[in-house]
Amino acid sequence: MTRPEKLSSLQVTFYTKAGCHLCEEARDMLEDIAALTQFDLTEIDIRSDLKIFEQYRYRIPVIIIDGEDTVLEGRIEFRDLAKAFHLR
Amino acid sequence: MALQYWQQMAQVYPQSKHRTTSKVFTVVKWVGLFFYDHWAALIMGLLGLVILAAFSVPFLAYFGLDRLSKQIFFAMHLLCGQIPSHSPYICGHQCGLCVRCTAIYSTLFVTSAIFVFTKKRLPGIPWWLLVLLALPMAWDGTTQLFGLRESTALLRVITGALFGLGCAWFTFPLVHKTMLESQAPLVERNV
Repeated sequence: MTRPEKLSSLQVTFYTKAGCHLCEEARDMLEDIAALTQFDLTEIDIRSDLKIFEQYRYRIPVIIIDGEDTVLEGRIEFRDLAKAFHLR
Repeated sequence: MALQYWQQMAQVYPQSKHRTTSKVFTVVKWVGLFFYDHWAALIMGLLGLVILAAFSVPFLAYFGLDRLSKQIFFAMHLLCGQIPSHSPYICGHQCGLCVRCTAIYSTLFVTSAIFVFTKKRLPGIPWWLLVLLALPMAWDGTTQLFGLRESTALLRVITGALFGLGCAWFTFPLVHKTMLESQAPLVERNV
């Protein structure tokens, strides 16, 4: 299996909220990553569910890659995100 | 005191015969004297601006001024790590400084204000007291960094405030004392 085929199966969940500056930065990074590799992105606004809101309100942006395997949150650095996507 | 310093400086650097040099000297002299007299108030103002900027971030975001809010927020990353879980939130938006940094800058501001409004008469503290006031934050931050324990918002505020208090209380009177002493060579030379 070649690496791009393997990476195409990556499931990414992105917890965010409007007006969150760190989320905007994280989204830009995800767009940069999308130019390098394929992944399925699910973006969830934490305000859509009270339980999710309580869980993530002081943690967003939260990026979960492949279930709970990799969790990145708060101030996310591009190198950490790239590493999580096996790009470095 | 400023007048005395000005007179001394005028004697040390006698007025040049060249008009341009003289003008430059006058401007430099005024700027120098301004900073000499108002350095503490300027630093206090700067610290006040930092706190104001930190608290303006969530309010600007709340009122829809996202672009400005975002620029201030990211500019403040130079001063603070801005970890979301360690930061205060207003109207659901993250402030520009974390809880600990807010406490540090607030006490720096308050102490500098006390120093300025007591006309720089606030006595300084010895270096060992500064170390003593910094120790709680060092302990809190280090143990958390190595994953030994997780701090709380209240502890971050208390330890940060003690550190800020120590820094300002030690530094401001020391700088003032050093600046007063720096005039001694001029006086000794009878200029």
